[in-house]
Amino acid sequence: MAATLPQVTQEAGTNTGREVTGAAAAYRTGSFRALGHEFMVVTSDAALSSYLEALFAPLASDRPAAHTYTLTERPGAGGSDWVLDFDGAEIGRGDPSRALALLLWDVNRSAVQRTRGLVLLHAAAAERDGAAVLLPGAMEVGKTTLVAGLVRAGLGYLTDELTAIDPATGRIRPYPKALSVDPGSYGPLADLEPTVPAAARRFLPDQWQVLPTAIRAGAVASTATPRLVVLPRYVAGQATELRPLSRADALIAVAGCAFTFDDDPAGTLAALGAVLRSCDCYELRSGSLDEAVRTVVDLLDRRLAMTGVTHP
Amino acid sequence: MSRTVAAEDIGPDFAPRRRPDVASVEMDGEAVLYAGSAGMHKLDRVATVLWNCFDGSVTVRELVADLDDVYPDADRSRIEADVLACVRQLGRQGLLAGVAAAEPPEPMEAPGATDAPGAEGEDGASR
Repeated sequence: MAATLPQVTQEAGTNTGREVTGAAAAYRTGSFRALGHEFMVVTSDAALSSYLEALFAPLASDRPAAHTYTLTERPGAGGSDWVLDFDGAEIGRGDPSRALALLLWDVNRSAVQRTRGLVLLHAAAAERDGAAVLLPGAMEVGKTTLVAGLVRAGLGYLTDELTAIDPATGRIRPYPKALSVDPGSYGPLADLEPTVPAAARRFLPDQWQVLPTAIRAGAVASTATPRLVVLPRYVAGQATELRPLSRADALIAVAGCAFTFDDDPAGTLAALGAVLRSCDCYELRSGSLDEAVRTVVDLLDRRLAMTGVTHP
Repeated sequence: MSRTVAAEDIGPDFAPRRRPDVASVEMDGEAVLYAGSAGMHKLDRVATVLWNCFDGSVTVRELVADLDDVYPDADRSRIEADVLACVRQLGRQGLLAGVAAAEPPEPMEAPGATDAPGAEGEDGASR
């Protein structure tokens, strides 16, 4: 069954919904928080505004937005362009799908740039009973696909892209954005295909945006402590291979995925070392999502069993 | 005035000293070192023990003597050869003060591209 994005109810008297500004109507979303990046989106398209309100719902914030993206259609060289502004300055333009893709890209980029005091990893993460599995790696290794499979299998969702660890506590602060699923993973995740209102479809990039709550109600986790590190590598046709890693080798790999490493190499290395000392570490190669999910769930359950926590 | 020696010229009277700007974390007896331009390195358990002794006050000869005491059945000449090899290698890698690095090390691999969307795979959250 296809997963459906929730419909947005636009209420008068709030900071969402239709707002008349001069001669043009502008639709403004609520406030959202991508870790240290607080933003809202203003657009001239009602369907797009509703879609964005639903898409960013896992990041909804009570705080006023510090920054504003504006997505509007304007005259361009070939007729018209959709233009993305950030705090009044243009950051890109193109067809509707490119404009939305650029918005999603910039939200992630700004989350990295504006977040302070946390160790930021290019990693997906999921959890069970407060014990998290980190899935660090470069693009295209299968992080999002694997974390989608894990959430579908019952684990809590923390992020598919940017894992933020508080070095003071060792705990993960979630960034539960919609999972960005590439076409290559449509097959194994076919049941998660989102249903998008027809009026908003022209804005969709060639990628599914899957809400974690559409995978499973209550899937978003609040926090967790890393207990397992699995370096995933999807290889088509590969039989599933799990290889233990020394914590030193895992630290090198994870440090290579740290966005803030160059800002404070010694501090970041020390923080990651402290986190990994409590983790079992592996490298996982697989051509089967189901087998990869079973392998990771089994590892996590065994780790939890060591602490007296069991799952049926 | 400080002198820089070539790694190959390191002998038994050399007192190795860790570069002060090298970040080091020990994981289960193995050291992970990061020294900016010298890149990221992992030391095995034996090299980690030696690394921890490299404070500039102990010569290679003295280290070998200590190890010979700890391992009396081992061939002393073999111990000396291994310790010298370790010190010279760390020197070539740019991890020791006063020792010229042999060549620029491989930069640490970044987790992803920094291009805006338009090409396959760009997602914004990249180094």
